[in-house]
Amino acid sequence: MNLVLALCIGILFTAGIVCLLQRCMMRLVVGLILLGQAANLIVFTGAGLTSGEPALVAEGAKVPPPGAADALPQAMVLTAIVIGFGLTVFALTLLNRARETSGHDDLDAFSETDRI
Amino acid sequence: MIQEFIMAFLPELVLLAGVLAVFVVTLYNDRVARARAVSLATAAALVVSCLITLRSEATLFDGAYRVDLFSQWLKLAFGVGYLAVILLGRRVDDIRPDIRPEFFLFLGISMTGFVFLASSIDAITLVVSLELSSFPLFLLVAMRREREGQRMQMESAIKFMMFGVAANGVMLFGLSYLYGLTSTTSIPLMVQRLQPVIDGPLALAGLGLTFAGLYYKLAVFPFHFWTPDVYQGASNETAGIIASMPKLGAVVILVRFAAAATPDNQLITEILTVLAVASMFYGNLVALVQRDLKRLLGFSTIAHAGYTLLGFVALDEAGFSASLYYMTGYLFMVLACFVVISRVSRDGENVAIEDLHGLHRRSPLLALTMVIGIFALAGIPPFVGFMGKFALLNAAFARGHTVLVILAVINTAIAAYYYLRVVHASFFGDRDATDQMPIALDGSTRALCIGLIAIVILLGVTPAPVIDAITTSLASVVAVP
Amino acid sequence: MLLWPVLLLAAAGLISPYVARSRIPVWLLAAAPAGVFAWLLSSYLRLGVGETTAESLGWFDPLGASLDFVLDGFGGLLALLISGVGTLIVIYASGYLAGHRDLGRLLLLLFFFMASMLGLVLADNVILLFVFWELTSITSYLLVGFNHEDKAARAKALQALLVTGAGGLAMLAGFILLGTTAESWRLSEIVQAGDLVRSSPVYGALTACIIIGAAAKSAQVPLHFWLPNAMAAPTPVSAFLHSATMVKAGVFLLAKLSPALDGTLLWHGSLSVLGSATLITGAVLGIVQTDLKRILAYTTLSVLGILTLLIGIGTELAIKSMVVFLLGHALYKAALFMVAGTVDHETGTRDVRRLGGLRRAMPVTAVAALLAAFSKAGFPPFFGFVGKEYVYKTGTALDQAGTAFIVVAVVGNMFLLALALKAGLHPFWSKTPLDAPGRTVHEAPWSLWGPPLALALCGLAFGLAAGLVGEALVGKAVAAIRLEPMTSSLSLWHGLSLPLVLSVVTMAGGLLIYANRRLIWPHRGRIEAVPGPSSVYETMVGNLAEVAKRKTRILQSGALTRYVAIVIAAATFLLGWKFLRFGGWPDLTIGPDIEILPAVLCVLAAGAALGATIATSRLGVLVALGIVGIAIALLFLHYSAPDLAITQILVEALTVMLLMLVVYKLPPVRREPRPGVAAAKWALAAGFGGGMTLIVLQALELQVAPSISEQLATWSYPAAHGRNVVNVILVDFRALDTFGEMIVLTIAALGVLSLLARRKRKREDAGS
Repeated sequence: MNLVLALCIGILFTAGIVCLLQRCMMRLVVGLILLGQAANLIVFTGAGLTSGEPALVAEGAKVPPPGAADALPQAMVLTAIVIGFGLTVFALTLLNRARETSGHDDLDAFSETDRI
Repeated sequence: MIQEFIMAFLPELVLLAGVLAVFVVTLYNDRVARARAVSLATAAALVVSCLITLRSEATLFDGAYRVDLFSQWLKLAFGVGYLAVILLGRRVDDIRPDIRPEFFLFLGISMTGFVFLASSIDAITLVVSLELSSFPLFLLVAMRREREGQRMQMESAIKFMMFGVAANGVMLFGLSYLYGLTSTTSIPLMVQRLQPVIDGPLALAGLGLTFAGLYYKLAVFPFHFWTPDVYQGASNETAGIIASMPKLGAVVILVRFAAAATPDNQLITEILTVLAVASMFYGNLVALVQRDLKRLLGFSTIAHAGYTLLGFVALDEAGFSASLYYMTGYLFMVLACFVVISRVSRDGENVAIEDLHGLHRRSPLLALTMVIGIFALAGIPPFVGFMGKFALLNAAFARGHTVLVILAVINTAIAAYYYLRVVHASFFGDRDATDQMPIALDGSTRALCIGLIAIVILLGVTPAPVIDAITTSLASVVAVP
Repeated sequence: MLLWPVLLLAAAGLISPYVARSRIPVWLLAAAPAGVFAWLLSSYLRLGVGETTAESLGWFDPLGASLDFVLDGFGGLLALLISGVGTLIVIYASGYLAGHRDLGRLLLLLFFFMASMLGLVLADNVILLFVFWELTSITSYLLVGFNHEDKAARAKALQALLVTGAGGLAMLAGFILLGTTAESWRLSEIVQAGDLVRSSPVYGALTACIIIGAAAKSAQVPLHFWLPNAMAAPTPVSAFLHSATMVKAGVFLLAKLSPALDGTLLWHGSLSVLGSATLITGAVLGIVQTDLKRILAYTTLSVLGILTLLIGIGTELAIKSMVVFLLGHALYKAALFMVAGTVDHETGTRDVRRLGGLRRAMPVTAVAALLAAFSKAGFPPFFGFVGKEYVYKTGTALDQAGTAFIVVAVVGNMFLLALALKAGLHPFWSKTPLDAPGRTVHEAPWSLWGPPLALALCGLAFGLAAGLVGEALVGKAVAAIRLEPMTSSLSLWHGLSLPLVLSVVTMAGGLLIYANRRLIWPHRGRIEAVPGPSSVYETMVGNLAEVAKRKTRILQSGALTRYVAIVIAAATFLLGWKFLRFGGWPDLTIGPDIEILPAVLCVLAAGAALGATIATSRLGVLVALGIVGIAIALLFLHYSAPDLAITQILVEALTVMLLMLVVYKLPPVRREPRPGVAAAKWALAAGFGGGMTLIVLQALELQVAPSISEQLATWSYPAAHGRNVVNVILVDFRALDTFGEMIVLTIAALGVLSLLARRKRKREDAGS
């Protein structure tokens, strides 16, 4: 199972990076989102997987059942998802503004700063 | 209990209160001057509170936050830098007029991030502090005024953010491996548990990725691409901030993690050596052909990141304290240069080296500040840049990295060439200057210039107490339990 | 106590701009170096042969740098020269640049230079010495470029600094090696550790580094070209830096370190060769010059060559001649430079072809010039004669290579003599008609003739009182260098001997060259056109700039995707390196534990991701993205993370909605048109993705310690009264982080707002 998950993560990364390397803005956003997903998945799987045992304390019990999922990585991923969303929104706005100012969406043409 | 908490957490509380006050101020109309005044008061209070709490020690928030000498002097350095940046920013003319007060708000929030960073000893707190410190900076870059045909700021903002997000992601990612490996988010524990498995590929990958995120902040080759563009595209004040604070922050975190490796760890040493050499040569060679002053400083930053890595190549206490000392000094040298840039600049425009011609007539104090800042960057005695480089070279040399030391020295020689072009222009240039109007300096700018000069010289001629203090405070960070 | 003179001079520098602006006579500032001179003189005279006065203050001890100062026979002699000549130079400069708007600045730099130079010769710690060494380079750079109206002056100043600065760095490397080898950073201890240093494996490297540094500073061939070029400096600066002080620093250091480094072929051989080459180069190039200052600069080269050669020989006699020659040279060369400046000041030219017969208009200057030139030419009874005699004596006493040495020395001295007469005699006594249009030439003010006259008279007096000088100055200096007292005294007259014969030969040859000087001048252009190290320097600097430009164009092209590609390639390389070097490949077989549902979800997510990459329709991309998000959310749900699943779905929905709003404003999605480039991008991405896969697999195989979240889970209900452990962690255990996260989100919102606000206003403006 690990191999399947790992391959899935690898493909997500590949797709994300290919998008990042394209010159048009739309793909850039898609790439950022895909990379974010891949990263979340890595953090999530990195700590080990448990199926069917969420880290919940049952009614009447004081601790979660033994063998419950590791809660800390989940908290980390949750944080990452939310921050990732904030970033996506900001990136979108920024790109949109850049396109409005420049009138095109070719990322490689943003090289005004690089003239010698 | 609560008293102790307040005593230990005082700088943060002061800063948070200040930021809140700035936020309230931004809600009203016509607020730039007031926002600046409040920020100034906050920064001053931050410096004072850091001084008060310099000796306090505490562990807060469930072990996520450590207050000790190490964190407090860093906060002090950040505080002084904050103060300098506000003074430097004057009326932030180059920020879009409608959102000028927000400049101070975002600056304050970013500072909060840096101050948190100094004390974070938990991986999650660390990531959040990093986000907190870097996110407002993305905004500050995009906030530069747009003038005819200039769209650099957007370009820079995109580059800065893209690389920034990627770097934070990569770092988070590295941390998650380390967590997977050690099952703890507490950095000291992590470091301790990493030691037996440090040569395993996973630990190396984790550390490597964590470091990569920091290399981006430090602008180590090949994670540097944003640096010159952002320096050039951001307003002078913003570039001054980006050039100084994040670097020190990154070195702090690097130190916390590098403590996991021992000096005889060959792979980490090798990688760091390659990166250091590449950064030095890359930064210095490209800087040779630059005309825009900020861009030149941007490339020189890359070279300085390379020098700083020398201390990490040594992977021992002497190396770490040399790096921290160098970066602390660097903060002030580079701020000195940016003060001059922001004052020489006409209406917030970028400054080319030619624009410095005749500066010694237009404003002797600015010329002096520039010359001292540049000499310090070039590593010329008796300024802090020299002592810092000397300490770094010595640390690397003591661990037998002779070739690296020689390459670093060669780089210093190359760098001298472009630094001196700047000195040349500001000290000798005369005839071809287009603008010969004297530059009038207000009192606070004068104070800032003199203050920065004094710091650059004092840190350089009295390195012993500073390095001693750093080394002592490092004990709590590096000591292997 | 030894730090005080340095600080005093620096302080004098700080006040000089104010003095220059006030009504106080500027020459009064000379009181500072004069005071230092007097104090040093009294200390020096009290110093016994071989004795030192040392003191030390803590500075940066862990790294070996501390404020160690020492007053010994040799350093003290140079300190006397620096403060003594410095006093005269300050007076001279106040006259030379009287009324100049930048006089204050020049004096400030001059005092700073003097302070650094004094620090250099008094330092007893190699790091401290290096600090002063570099300070002299920097201040001299600022001084040489002082005539900043002149672009050439600025370029020359930079050249001088780059050569000496680069040499300085070599020297630092040498010092660090030396310090670690000799296990001490104190010069006085290093010179005692000669055996340790010579037997070290790095002896060759450190000696080479130190020789390079010293050669650059003391303008030895092939690093000599900066010195004549530095003549663009104002004359008081040349008179001080390029005669008595800075250029002597390299020689000073070599002499000082000779007990630790000499005794090997490397040392003696390279110094002798360097010295001889410099001597001859200076002589040959000097003879074709017509500019007074350039003539003097080339003779300085020759003298520096002789000094290096003598150190390379290293016998007691050689060191003694070195000290005598150095002292004599400082006296007459500074005087001649000042005379040249005075002539320039009064006539407006320094070209010897246009100068002649000035003795009538400027009698006092002419006397000063004559005295200095005679000393330089080595006529008895001047001090220069003593120096030359001792050089020949050294040669005749040599066992091997004595003849070669004598030939080099005689030829060099002949040219020196001719040049001395050309610079000191020709402008005043020759019949060349004076060509100074628009000038009525008259005697200069006292501040311009006084200082050179004083120095020239010293040269005469020292010669007459050679024995006394030998006892009071030379003997102490030689003892300080060789660490043992001098065995014979100094005298002017040695009777009829081989050295005297050589002197006569030298005089005859020199006079012959001088008489034919006009025949040589026309060939100047041809000789100077021979490409030398100077053109190598130009080419190197030019090439460096060219390489830098080319590299910038390739790597820092501005194309964002190329940056990203480079970063990813580097990251892939780092990842790959780890696996290649350390092996440790994970298990790559599909285990029996495969579960259908998550496997399907994985395939779905991966497929949709690839789809989002390939699709060209905007809607298609959005749908594919949505599928990826939902599939991952379901994976979270399957693996016991309901909170994550909910958040993910929520965020996914918001993102897609937002994209829909924006997407239709963006131009259509394009594909990479060039198939080759597209393939390369895919390959790079696949490499990175593959590396990630390997790492994830490894991460899943390995875990070393129990998780701390066990504890968090245990405390969740009892301590925080929450049943959902993830939520408790977020809002309770990790509240600080969540707080930070909220701020981050707020900033994002504010950022979006600030970017949008602008547009809204624009639209309003357009509407109204």
